[in-house]
Amino acid sequence: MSGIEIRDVSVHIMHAEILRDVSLDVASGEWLALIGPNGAGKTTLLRAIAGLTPFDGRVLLDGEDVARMHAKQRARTVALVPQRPVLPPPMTVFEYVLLGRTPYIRYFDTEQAGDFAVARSALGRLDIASFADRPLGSLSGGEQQRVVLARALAQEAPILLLDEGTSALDIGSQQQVLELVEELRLMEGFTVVSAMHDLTLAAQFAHTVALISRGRLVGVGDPNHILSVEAIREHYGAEVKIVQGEDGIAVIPVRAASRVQR
Amino acid sequence: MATISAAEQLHAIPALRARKRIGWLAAGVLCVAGAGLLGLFVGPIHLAPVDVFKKLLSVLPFVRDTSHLTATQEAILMQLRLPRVVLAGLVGATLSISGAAYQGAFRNPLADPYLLGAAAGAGLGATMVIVFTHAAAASNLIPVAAFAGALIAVALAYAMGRAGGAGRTATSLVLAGIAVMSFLTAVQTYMQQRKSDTLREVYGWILGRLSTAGWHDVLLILPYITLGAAVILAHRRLLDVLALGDEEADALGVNTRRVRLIVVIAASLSTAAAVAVSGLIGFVGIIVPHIIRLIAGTSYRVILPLSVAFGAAFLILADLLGRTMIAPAELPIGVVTAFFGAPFFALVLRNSRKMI
Repeated sequence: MSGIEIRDVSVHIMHAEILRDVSLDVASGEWLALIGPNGAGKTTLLRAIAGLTPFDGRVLLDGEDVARMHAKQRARTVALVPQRPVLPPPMTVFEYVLLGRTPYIRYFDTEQAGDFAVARSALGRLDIASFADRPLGSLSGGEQQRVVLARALAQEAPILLLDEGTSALDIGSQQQVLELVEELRLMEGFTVVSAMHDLTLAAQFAHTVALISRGRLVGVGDPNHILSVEAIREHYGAEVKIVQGEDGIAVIPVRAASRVQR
Repeated sequence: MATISAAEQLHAIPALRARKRIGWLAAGVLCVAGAGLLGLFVGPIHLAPVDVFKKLLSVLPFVRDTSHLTATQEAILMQLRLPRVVLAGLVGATLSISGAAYQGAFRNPLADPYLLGAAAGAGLGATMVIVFTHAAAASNLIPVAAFAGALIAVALAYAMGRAGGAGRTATSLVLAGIAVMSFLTAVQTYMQQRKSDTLREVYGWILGRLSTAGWHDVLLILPYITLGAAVILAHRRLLDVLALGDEEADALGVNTRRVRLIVVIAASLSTAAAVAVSGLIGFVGIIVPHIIRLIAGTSYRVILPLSVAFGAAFLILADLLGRTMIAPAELPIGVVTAFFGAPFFALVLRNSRKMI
């Protein structure tokens, strides 16, 4: 229903080429993980999909050109969870989640009963209803992540973009957040695009991974095919071994010393 | 059981928020009324509070004037004290809500109504009139020149901030404001020093004064500050969205540049109008909104309306102190706002565990 078509997208920021000719398709209801080293252009690609950065080429969301969409219509179609979301410390969780309703409220208007209901259900879905009245500044990293997801959920957009949202979390919180996203994807039919650093988690959760390196798309497909020892050495400069686990492959770093011994 | 009560609590939140807001608003209205009456009662000529009440009520249609005021007392009340109290309230409300609007639009807690050079522009306009015209003409021309100066300064800062390549960012606008402010202050200082016989008058204006206030001044600024305040209040929800930063507000479908431009224009227009009749009263626009943040919350739906109420009450009281403390002489109101405002703010800051 709400697939994404990315056609020859290039992005220049102050004369520097950040992305070059990226073409990619994400089917409706699919989870695609963007992987690649720091500075490869993952965040920029997410921002282009969300219509937040000027770019050459075309991005179609459910067949509609994102560059021609009205800002509010765009915000009703795609929700972005940024890498480092701004969480004003004194703002309460409920107030924050309610801001997700912005694309549905007219310019001078305020929230109606329907908006409160959506915000409440988002809090319930992410199991954070009990701290609706707490200020954002008092939350732990994992709780904050849930709150940001709840705001994105309140946006009621069929496409969810996650920008390495889990990188600063401990392994448990990271897993819980990704499981939540998976649950929402299955129940609501969301299309998910997530920029991820943890390749094992990317392989576990995403149907497709797209490897981006120096602004170019260098591989896209099944995680088992894209995540190879050679590709990771070439693009990340890392030595790893790849193990077949129960839920897909696991990418394990290998120390230089142990390499010498072998 | 626990989940039911959590759900119930959740349902109660919007109503609770609304009730709290109404409670604070009522407190604000009471404060303004209290400060206003005090301002009418106190002065060098004693007026009996009962007569003041009766006289005020008689302004309403179909209410007979049963007060026992002499013609002089009546003139003191209706032509001197009342317009002065009203003007102090309007200027205080305007400076506070404009300060809060700037703080929201620039996401900067240090922003004040004079951020983009309005004060320096108004100062230059007033100085030029005082230095170059005769005293008789000056009193009518000063507000006009100050108003024009303030608007020109803000327009200059805005044009400069946009021209500077990174015109999208709020920071370049603030820097442009500082540059404009320094330049205009330099020109103003040069003019004031060249004609030192007007130094005292210029200085008196710059420190802020409501002493020549009359209904004329009130009517002069009313259209501008009403329009400005209405526009700012209409943006209260969008200023809350802006608190998330431009990137995230954009992602939520808000045209952040347009919202900022409209709010800044409205705040600048009303600041220019207030400055035109009152001179440069400092401190109000930065401190009143922060006191509200500390005691009543950080949502602009609370801050903006309460800024109007508490800003008005604060300046009415400051003016009362300014004209009574060393009577028959008057303390410049800008001195009073800082002298009493700063310790009061320190007290609120100390007793508050909230974050700004």
